[in-house]
Amino acid sequence: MPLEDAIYIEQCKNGDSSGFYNLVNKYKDLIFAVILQRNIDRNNAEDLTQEVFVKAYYSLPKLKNSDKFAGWLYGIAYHTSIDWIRKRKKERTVSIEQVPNLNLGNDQQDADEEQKERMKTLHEELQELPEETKSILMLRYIDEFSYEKISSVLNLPISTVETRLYRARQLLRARMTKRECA
Amino acid sequence: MHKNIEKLILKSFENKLTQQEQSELNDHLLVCASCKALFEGYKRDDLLMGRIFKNKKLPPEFIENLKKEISSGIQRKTIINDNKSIFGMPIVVPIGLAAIFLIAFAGIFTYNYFFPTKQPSVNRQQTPMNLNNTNTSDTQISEMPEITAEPLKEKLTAELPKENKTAENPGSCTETLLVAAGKTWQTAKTVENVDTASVKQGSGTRFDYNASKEIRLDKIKGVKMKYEGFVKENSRYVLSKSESGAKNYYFEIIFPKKAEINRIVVDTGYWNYKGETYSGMYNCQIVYDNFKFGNWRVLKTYNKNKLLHLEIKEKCSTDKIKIEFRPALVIEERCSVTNNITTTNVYLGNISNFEVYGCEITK
Repeated sequence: MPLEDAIYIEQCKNGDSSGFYNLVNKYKDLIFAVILQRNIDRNNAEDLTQEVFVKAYYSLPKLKNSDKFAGWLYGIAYHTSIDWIRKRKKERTVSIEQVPNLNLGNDQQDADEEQKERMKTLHEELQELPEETKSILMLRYIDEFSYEKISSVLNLPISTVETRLYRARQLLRARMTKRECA
Repeated sequence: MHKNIEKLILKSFENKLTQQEQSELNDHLLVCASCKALFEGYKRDDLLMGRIFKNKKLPPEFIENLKKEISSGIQRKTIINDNKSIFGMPIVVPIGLAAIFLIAFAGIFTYNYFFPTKQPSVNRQQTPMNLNNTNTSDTQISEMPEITAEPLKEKLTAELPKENKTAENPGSCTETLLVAAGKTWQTAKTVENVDTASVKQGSGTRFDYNASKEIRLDKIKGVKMKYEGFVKENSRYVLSKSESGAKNYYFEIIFPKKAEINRIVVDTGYWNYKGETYSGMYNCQIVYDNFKFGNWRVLKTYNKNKLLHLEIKEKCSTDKIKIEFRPALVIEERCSVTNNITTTNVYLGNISNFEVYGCEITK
């Protein structure tokens, strides 16, 4: 992956913007998900995703290490969304009904009320998780990122990614069990 | 709940179980209800998280919109850069240059205000002393009486009682400034505070200095002249003393108020001492009263000077200016057999003209 990114970045630096749009195509859903994960509504998340890529486009010549593009882009998305939230002063936790990105639509039509309730609970618990844990889970489930991909985005060793993912699942299950028992 | 089974469960969600581990897990889940429940819980979480995080796709027109946004951003940037440029340079460059000039100007102004003294001197007159040639200045040095070695010695002896008299009368001699008349100086009366303007002025052309801003400072009303060790001789002031110790012989002009001096012109004669000729300002320095600090500051120093006409272009603000004379080491005797030289210190001074140009400071 980093090699592919490096080629695209080089193209972009040489004035070929198609390289940049290849990178956009590759990472747009990840960035969108990262932003949505911050309880930002879909429309604003789309705008913010665009903002992230515009920032990346103008800052790309400053990127020294092409191998770390994914992590760098993730950082831009993280800070852009945090800044947006600070400006809006929105509450961190919102109800599931207010989160259109949960996409409870078609799939959920068949699901029973219990599953709907579980999903809401899980979402709430996810919001309560530490940032690192939440990020790693999110990356794992968005397009089923591999450990390598996660490690390049979060700039962590693969073994650390593995351990953290294991603990993240464990922690979430423990919280869910506590909720279910209550 | 079994810890090792939980590990296997979690591993199964990452599809990292070996066949043996998979069969072990399956067997255990059949017999252990708690582990089965845990497995179901993890499975539910996995499914729900997949639903939460998946399908967060951007609309297909996202890239097109982004392209438009970036291209419009580039245009905006270009327009902003065009607006913020002067002669093709970014606006920061001319602003920076202007700031540098302002700072430099302020610095120079401040320096000149607090240290209003020296500018690099230009001595226009570079004619070396040549006894056979007429000096380029209007003052005809060649017409001045030549003082040879023998008369000098005689003078030194003859003037000793006079000098003693001067010593009895401390405070030196204060005279009104001799106003230059034509090509030589006129003798003035030895009276203090005589109005120099009332003294007859000659018709010489050298004083018709064509400078609208500059005036002859030594001619303004109330200017005094003060000297030590000099004697008037015809139309000049001469100093000829053989002294072993350091003496303070000087020729000074005192202005009634502070003046801004731009230029000083001094004409001097020469001494002829045992075949050697010396300028009337052989070893001397021109100093001015630095009234801010109450001391004398050197304006120009001459060592072994051979010029008879000196034009000093120095700037200073002061109310007093004087020429201090220092001793010249002259050859007293040369032994014809051994060729040994005996030297002596002689204070030599010869001033025929002393002009100061500049402007008065009224404030």
